[in-house]
Amino acid sequence: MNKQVIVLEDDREIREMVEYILSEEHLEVRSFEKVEKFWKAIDSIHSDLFLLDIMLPDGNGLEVCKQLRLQKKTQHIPIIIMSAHFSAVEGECNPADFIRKPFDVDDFIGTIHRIIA
Amino acid sequence: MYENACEPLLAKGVFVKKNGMKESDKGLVMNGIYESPLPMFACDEHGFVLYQNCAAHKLMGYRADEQKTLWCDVWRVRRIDGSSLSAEACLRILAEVGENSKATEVLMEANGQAAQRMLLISSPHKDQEGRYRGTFNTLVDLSHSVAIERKQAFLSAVVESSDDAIVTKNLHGTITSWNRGAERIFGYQEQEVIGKSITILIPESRLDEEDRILAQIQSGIKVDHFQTVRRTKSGKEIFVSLTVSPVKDSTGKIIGASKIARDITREVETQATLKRYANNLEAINALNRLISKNLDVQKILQEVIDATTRLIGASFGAFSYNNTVGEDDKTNMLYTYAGGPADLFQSALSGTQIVRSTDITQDEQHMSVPVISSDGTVLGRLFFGSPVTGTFEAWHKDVATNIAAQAAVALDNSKLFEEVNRLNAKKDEFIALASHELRTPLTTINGYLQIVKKKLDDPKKITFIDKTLNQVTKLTKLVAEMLDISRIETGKLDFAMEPFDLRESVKDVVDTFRYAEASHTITFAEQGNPVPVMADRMRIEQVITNLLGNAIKYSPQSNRVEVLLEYEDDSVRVNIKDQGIGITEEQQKQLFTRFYRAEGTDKIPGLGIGLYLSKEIIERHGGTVGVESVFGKGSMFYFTLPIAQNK
Repeated sequence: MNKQVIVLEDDREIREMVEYILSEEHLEVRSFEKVEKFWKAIDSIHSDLFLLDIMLPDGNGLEVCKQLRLQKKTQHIPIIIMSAHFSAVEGECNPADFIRKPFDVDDFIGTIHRIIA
Repeated sequence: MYENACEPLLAKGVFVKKNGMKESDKGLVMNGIYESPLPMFACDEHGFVLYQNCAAHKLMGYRADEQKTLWCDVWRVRRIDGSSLSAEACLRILAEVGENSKATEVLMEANGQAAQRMLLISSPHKDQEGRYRGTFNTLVDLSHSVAIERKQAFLSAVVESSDDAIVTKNLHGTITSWNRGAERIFGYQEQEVIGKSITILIPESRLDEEDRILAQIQSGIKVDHFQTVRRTKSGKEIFVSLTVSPVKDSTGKIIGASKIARDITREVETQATLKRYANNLEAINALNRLISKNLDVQKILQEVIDATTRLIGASFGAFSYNNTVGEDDKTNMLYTYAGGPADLFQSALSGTQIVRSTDITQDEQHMSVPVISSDGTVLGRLFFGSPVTGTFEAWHKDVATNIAAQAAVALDNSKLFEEVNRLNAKKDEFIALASHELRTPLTTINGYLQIVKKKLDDPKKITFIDKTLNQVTKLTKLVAEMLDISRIETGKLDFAMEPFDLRESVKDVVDTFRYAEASHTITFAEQGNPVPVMADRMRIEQVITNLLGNAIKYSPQSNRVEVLLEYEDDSVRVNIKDQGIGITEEQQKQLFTRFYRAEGTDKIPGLGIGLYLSKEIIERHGGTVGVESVFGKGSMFYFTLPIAQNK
């Protein structure tokens, strides 16, 4: 069974591009553009890695990160924060890594494989 | 009138009784008359001088030799009013004087000198038949006493005309003289006080002063300009400056004191007023200094109303301020108050209740001063009240108006400051948003280009893609620099400090360039001791990248760049040397400023932000940045950093 990456990103182009890259790497992808939709779906799907954007139309990726850490079900699942905004990442979120936009595709792939393993 | 105690001795027969007198007796008398210190002379019934004694001769200066000289002519006699005597009068006057008053004052010119005042005492002589036969005259020189009289009259006039009170008293403190000035100042007429004790002028609390003054006077010491309080007839107390001098008799014995009292009530009041004004000015200045430094609206309002209420002696004050907030100009009312009951103010100024003026206070006095901005809008109002009538005069209004003007300035400044902060925050918001927005499409562009590149075999196509990718990288860098600049200027550029080896960082950057830029050979001595520093690694590498990039960019004709690392005990220096176009001295001065691009570089792309950023980053790490260059030959850029000490 392939590992599944859950992506939370509001820009459609970036979302599609990430989906393409990840599927080329034989990874399953489920992506969401809104925090609300993300939470609704998360209980019923399997996750091996969360890839979260920060600026979302109905929320903040860092907040989502904190919430995931608090929930028992998702505590152990690694999180990567991906953003154009290089702001100080709060301690409570504590992501496994941070990907800066725009990113080098090879670096991106490398990081994903490294964290999800 | 001259009192002659002797009756005409002719009757008594003592004076001339030829028969009863011996010749020697006559000689005694005649000699006595001749040698008498009093000038004496005799005239016949016509006024001709018959005889003058020695003193008369001495006084008058010459002898009347001729029998036929009228006595008036001899001595140029005139009446005391200066009018001359006619010949007749000359004859008559002696007889008249002799008959009536026995003495009169005349002016006599003698010795060619100015007329002297003389008292003429005449004794007419009648013969046995009662016929007037002449007079025997004695003269008393009054010039000395006239001078004294004149002096006394003059001094009297001085005393009387003085505005000051001039009072004399004896050693028991009894008033012996009282001038017009004293009447005016103290209110007592002369007759009311002569003979009374000086203590009627002294308030109870100061009675001991009199003893002290008298004691000092008795030891002959003057009391000079002693400022004290005295009481007038109406009971009013006035400020006076006293000078008391001992009065001595001709033997030098102290017989009393003369007191000069100057009414200084007005001076004292003026001084008090001046002092009050000086204090007020100082308070106003202090307030101005305070509010001009302050940019917090609420603080300004509070300081102003507290200080002003105190300053003008109001029992309460309030400051209402129309606070305009934000771009939509929403206005709310701020107010602060001093001195009065809070709830009354709140209802009065917030306008939720109808409050009558008598509810605010039962006072008679209130004053309201507008605070007007430099552009004419009314920012608010200062409001003062006091239960005491007459509290607010013109100068209170002036003071309040002055302070209102200063408060307006301070409030304007505060507003400007808030506006600047708001705009700055907006700018930052904008730049953060802009950089985010720009990076989003750049992500997609960069990503797909890289994806496409992987699918290509044709080297030419790959080159095209690479060139495009380079431009995307440049764009990305520009966006980052823009954001950095904004952050530096608002002090928001934060560093993530960590210990690392600077030599290693330089090596990493050099390697990156070697890989990417084939045009130049970059030399760097990689062997060597590690150089530990404590800094933001990413930012330092950004600086090295910037300098190295510049070295390559600005030496298109050359193909060599040298990177050198040297260090001493406490600092390390990284030098980047190129053989490029070089920089003139003029240009060197401006090089590290924002947006600066040296002339002749317009063919070479760049925003001019890099060096400025590099300078900021290095300097904030406690290092220095600089350049050594010869125009046309090349440049060496360098930066230094403190070496991390192992503690």
